[in-house]
Amino acid sequence: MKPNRPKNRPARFCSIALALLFAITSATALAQSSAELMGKRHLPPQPPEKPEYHPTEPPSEPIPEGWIIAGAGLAAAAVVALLYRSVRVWRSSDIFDREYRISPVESPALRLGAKRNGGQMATIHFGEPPPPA
Amino acid sequence: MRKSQDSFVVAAKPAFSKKSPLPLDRVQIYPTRYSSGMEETTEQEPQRANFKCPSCRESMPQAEEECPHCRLTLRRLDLKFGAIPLHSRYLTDRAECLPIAEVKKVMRLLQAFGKKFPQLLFSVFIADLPPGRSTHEFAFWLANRGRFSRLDAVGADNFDLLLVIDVGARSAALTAGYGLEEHLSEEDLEDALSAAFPHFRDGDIAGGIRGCVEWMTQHLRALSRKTAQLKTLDNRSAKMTEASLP
Repeated sequence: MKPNRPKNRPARFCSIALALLFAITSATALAQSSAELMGKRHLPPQPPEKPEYHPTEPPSEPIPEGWIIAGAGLAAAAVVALLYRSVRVWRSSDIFDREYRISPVESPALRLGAKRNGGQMATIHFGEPPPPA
Repeated sequence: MRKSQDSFVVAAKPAFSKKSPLPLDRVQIYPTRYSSGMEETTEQEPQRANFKCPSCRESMPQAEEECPHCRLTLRRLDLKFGAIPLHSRYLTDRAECLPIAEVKKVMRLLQAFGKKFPQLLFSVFIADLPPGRSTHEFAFWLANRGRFSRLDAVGADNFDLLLVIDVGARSAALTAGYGLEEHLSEEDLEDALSAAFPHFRDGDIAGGIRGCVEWMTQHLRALSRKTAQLKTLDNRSAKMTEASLP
């Protein structure tokens, strides 16, 4: 037979409380750490951004000065030729000139039986005729 | 322009001196044109030369049916030259001595002349006439028988200018119609041919034609302007006279 030991109830209560407290705190700590890990692991890590591909063109060569001068000369010659041609056409078509009228005359005396031309003329000789063959 | 004032000219030789030898004090003086008042002009106007026969080139009076020297008539030339040669209105090159480019240029020149002077027609006929055919006879005959201008352009309505170039005989003739005789004298026609002479002499037919046409253009233009100025002055004086009358 065991002797009647007095029951230590306040010690048990403290130990149980401490155990519960320890469990609770450890649980909260574990929860926080898992949440942090979950947050980081929610988005997969982004791969590094690749730069866009721009095909590089070879640098263009400047136009030679001789070509520029030749082109300007050709353009000027074309303008001058166009103006010259235009002036010739204007002169030949008599755009800027006026018409001139001859005053009518009285009925002339007809000669030699001719009704259109009375024989008023001038003649020149501008060289010796070739010898007969 | 020779002002178309009526003038009173004494013939140097009376036309009938050979036929009826009258003494000079009984020679009658005929005016060359109708003169109002029979007044002598203060200015010494040049005596108008008689016309020359296209064949013998001798002076002949007006209104003669045939030349008193060689008895030329147009009908005789019809028998001499025969059929009328084909020709165009502006340029006819029967001798084929002008390149095509020059033909086009001369055509344009003559057409421009016609635009400046709508009443006139300047025609050019280039040919190699057979021996024995004088250029001036041919020009006179062709100017009358050819159809360069309209059919009813006869008498005073004919303002044709015809330049005939004989490349074989190396001669040229420029003739004017009846309508231009009052405005163009033979000296003017000679001056026009003189402008073409250097080119013809060097064988440049196109250049000679160009020189002749340009001289004629300048001369007729000056003539027309002077006529217009004289008309303006006459109109003003007439108005002033009318205003001064009561």
